[in-house]
Amino acid sequence: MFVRIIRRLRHLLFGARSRHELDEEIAFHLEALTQDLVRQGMDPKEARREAHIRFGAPEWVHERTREERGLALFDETARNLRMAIRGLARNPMFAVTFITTLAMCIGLGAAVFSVVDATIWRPLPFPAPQQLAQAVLYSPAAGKNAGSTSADGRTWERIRDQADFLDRAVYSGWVQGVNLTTDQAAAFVRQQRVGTGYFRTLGIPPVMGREFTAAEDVPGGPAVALISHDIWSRTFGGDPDILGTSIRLKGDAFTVVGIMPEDFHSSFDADVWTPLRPSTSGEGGGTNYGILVRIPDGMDFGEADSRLAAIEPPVAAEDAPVRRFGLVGLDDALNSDVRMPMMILMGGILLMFAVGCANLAGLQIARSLARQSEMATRQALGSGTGALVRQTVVENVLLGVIGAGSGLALAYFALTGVEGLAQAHFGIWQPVRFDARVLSVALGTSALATLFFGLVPVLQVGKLRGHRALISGSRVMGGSSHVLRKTLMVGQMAVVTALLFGAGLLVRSYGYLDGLDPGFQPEGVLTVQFSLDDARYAESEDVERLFEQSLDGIRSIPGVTSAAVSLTLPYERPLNIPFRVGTDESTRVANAVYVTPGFFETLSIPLRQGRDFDERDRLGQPLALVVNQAFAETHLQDGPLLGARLTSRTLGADGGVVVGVVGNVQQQAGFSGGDRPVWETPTMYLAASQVPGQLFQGLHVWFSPHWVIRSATSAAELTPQVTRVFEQVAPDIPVARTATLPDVMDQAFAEQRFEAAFLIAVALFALLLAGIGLYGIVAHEVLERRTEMGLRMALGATPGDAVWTTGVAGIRLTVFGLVLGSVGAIGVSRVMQHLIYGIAPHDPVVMVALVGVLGVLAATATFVPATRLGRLDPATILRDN
Amino acid sequence: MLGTRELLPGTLDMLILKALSLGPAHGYGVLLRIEETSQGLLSLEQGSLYPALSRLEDRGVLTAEWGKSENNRRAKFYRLTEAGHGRLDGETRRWEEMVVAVANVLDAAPSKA
Repeated sequence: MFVRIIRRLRHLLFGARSRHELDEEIAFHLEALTQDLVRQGMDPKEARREAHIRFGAPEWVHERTREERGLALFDETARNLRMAIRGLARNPMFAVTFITTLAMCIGLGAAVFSVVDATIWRPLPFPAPQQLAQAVLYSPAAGKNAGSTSADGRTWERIRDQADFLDRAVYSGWVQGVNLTTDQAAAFVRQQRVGTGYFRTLGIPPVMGREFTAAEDVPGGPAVALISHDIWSRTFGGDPDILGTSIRLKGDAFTVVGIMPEDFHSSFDADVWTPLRPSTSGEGGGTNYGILVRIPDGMDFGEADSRLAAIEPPVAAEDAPVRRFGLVGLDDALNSDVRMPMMILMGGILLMFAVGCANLAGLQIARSLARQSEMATRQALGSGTGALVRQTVVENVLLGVIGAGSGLALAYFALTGVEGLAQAHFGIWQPVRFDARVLSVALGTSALATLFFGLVPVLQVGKLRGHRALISGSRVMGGSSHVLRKTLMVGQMAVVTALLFGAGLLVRSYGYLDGLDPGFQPEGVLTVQFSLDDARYAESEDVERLFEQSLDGIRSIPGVTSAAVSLTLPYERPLNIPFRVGTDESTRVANAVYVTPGFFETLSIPLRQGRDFDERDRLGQPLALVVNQAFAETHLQDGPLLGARLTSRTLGADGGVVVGVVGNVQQQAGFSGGDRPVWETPTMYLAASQVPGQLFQGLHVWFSPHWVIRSATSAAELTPQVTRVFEQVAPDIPVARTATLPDVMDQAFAEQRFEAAFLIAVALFALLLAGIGLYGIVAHEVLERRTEMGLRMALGATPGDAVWTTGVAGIRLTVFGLVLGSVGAIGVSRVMQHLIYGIAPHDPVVMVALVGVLGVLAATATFVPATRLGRLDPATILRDN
Repeated sequence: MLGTRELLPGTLDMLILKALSLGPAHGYGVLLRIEETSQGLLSLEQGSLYPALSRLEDRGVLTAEWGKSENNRRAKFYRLTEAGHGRLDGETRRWEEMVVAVANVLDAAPSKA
């Protein structure tokens, strides 16, 4: 029967071909007729003329044929469409359930697919992106994955001077917000510094002008800048003479030498680029650069990697482990962090999709069973199986179109939400959009879900011999369709089990992280952040004065109980410095944070031993250090804590003395790692008043200090008053960011919360779908066994027995699904073990909750329809038959 | 020479189906069969045969494939499908009922009552 539909489609689509066939048929007809006439004695020429007369005009035949075909199809389709609409209107529950399920599946599926696509699947928006890579330094001793894409100046010089088989460029990944001013306009822009050849390596040249030359990309080189197309058109009104004019960034003049194309965007959100001017000291003394390379055409990745590995890396330190150069594909470098969470999102959606499709199939089967007698009657009255199939196709296409249409509309709205969440948590930088791929995936799945699942049951009706269904009368026959439906149900329950298990693990894991003792009291603390990367705050005294005056002003605000300044906040990536303990020769690394006196009090970090910083700790006095307990346990386990001497080149020649020990606070795990996203890392605090100006200047390029303010009133209400204080003491510095400390904390686990919330929502939706499916099956069972139960009750069975006998089928399906799903759940917990913290992959709480939830679902979906039997009067049932 | 009696509307399909129930044939063959079996009493408008054939093919009561004719020319041969047989039975029954009904009407005598 598909052959026929296909043939008809072919006629419609490839009219020319069938026209050609018809021509050939007519020619044959005319020739045969002519020959017969000749055989009867007619002159051949006369015979041909006679044949043409008898046959009539071939064009008329063509026209009639086309008409018959087209009109027949049109008529039948219109009739089927009318019938389909009438049929759906007669059974609105079916239509609504079907369309809602399909729309939800397609809507959520398309939205998530778009986000995942933008994040990890879509090729990077550069020419030949597979040839782009980042140079990394591996420490083979520390394992294959112990590579770092961060490079220092000496590392870059090796690559620059020796890797001449590659196109290569250095850049800084640090994008900073700056004020761009001209005589006419001002704008807040984001500035990134890149080396010469950066845009050539990416493969995107400026649309006007040029990129930086090697001569411009050296310390002390001319101040030049490239600007984005957006800034060019927004701030400069698309001025065609912009090249060569001067703009000011943070007050310094730069000459515009180029404009980037309109659609250019890299993983760095920047609109102004200036030369990096790489060096081996200062910024270049640390690993603050990234190295971008493009593998030339014809060279494969492995070859480039091994040729790079042949270059000898610079020696980091005498006792540092051996390192080697290597390459990591740019897409890997950008996406490796998010690939796992994205796959989990996608996996969750796909499983939900599977459950949804099974539901659609179940609905279709139920519907086709319910319509068996109708179909059989029509078959007996002469409708061909083909006509029935065609009608079903029209019906399903109608359902599919409505479902897919609502789904895409839903996706459009869902996308905004999902994109916002994903951008906040996964650093998506490629625009999320519906493109042809998303559309075709959505429509393809919709077509599959409706046509495939719509036709499977109908094919069974096709096999059915009309008389059987008629003989069985109004009673609904089950047979293989029912078995198929129950099998689907077990599958659905299994998928839901695995999905719920995974979601449960993430929720428990988030609960664990959220319940960790942060080590401080976040409630009532407001944080305000400033950038002090400014010539006016180059000297210690200037910074000191700012700290003192602002803190005095803030402390005088009514309600403020304490205030302090700190370089970094809990959960923020902290500064790391190398140091040595006492006379021990080995170099260690720990977090270092400068704070003003009162910081520990403001955050309620308990002082365990010794003292907080105070007025004694001044420049010129011995450097005082406060360490946390983790530091004491890791580095000072062998001696007295107070009075221990730590030396570090970063802190000056004499080093410092430990004067106090405080409790731990949660920090981002960073390099000193742990098996969870936050960790109580060894940290030393130093007094802001003892930080030399030079170090301040260096630190403030990278870190913007935070003011922390504790008040008895609501932290957020304090913001206007605090802002006023800053306007008085530092009128020319804009506040970078204000946030309450609880918000900062929230942000720390945002990714985990997003994953958990997303997956649990998807799992619950799948659960709901499965519940609807189960309800349908039991309701069907109830209908089917009405007479039997009526008889049993008439013969003395209690209504309870009847309900139980019918309902237990649903429970059985759930139990089968649960058992089957447990196998899947084991797989899920394997996949997710790197994403869960603080709980075992076979967490008993999740298991118990899972069984509980499924039990409640099964009981509800089963016994709600089954109790209908109990309320029936046996006499009525028996009389009905 | 063939007869000149016109076909009743709606009977063409039935005649084609009947002709093909005797075995597969090409379009011209169908024509000849109808003319022969009607002993020359029925004449088809020859061109109208082809629209009817393709319509029936679309409906799935006929299938067609290209083959060789008796004089070794390429021709499109039609064959009745299972649905076609069913359709023919239905049409025949309807036709017979119709004949009986029409005959009854024509036989009716004035009521004696």
